[in-house]
Amino acid sequence: MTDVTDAELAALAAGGDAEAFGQLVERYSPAARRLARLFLRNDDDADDAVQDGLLSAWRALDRFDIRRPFRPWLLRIVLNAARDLRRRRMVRQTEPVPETQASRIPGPDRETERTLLRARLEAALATLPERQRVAVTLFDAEGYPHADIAALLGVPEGTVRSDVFHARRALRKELAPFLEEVS
Amino acid sequence: MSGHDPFDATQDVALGRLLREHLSAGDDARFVARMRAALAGERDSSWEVLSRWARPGLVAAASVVIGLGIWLSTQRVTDVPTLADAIQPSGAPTRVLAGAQDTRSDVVLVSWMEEQ
Repeated sequence: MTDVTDAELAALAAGGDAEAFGQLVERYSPAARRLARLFLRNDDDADDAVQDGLLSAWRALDRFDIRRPFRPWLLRIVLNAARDLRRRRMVRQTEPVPETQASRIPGPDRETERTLLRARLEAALATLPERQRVAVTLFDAEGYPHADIAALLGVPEGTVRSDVFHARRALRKELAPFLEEVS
Repeated sequence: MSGHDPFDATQDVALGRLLREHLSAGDDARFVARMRAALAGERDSSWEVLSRWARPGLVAAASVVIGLGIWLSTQRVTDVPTLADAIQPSGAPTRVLAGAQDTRSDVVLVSWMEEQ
């Protein structure tokens, strides 16, 4: 069913076909979960928000115009669900591992490096304004065009370009050694 | 450094990969299974809501039908009043009024001319 388009699946789902909606969930839940984690910074909360968002989308499918792209529509609903959840409850913030603590972990093994990277990335993301965090992730990690991100965030495209630029610069500064290794 | 220009409008693959790996929860299949279960629950609960509404709905519909039946049956027993019923003074014989109804216009005219 992989060659079926989003619009076809959305049309089937709007007619009550839960299996078709399941296919869409399979396609987009990884990106939706990453997006929710940016907002909530807690895996359980992020998954709850994504589930809320996807169920809202399922209920609202009859109002979805299948001529429009499905992915931004779905992710906007997930984004709103993540914002709502954050408003509703006190978010259990994941404390970034302090650098001193991370560097105390002995040995240059892979796991240590990963822990250090995770801590560094978490800390670097935490320094960014939320919109920059989302913009750079959607652009560089998810491959969204600027126009889609602008529509998703409700800001002009130029603002997204600027956000991506500033976020990249800040992240590169923090992650320089890891980026060299990756590239 | 990856050498990627921050102004570049193309995707920064290295940074993107780091972000994706960092933000991915990694158990996507389990989450999809959880979602499918939630969707199934959602459909079941929709039917439950409908069935909860169905019972009072049926009772209300039955009440309306019964009420309508009673009203119609009383309407048949009590005939619609005729003009004669409406103008009939209490206790006056119907016969008198029946006669009045038969009054011809020429007789009325003659009576009026006589009075003049």
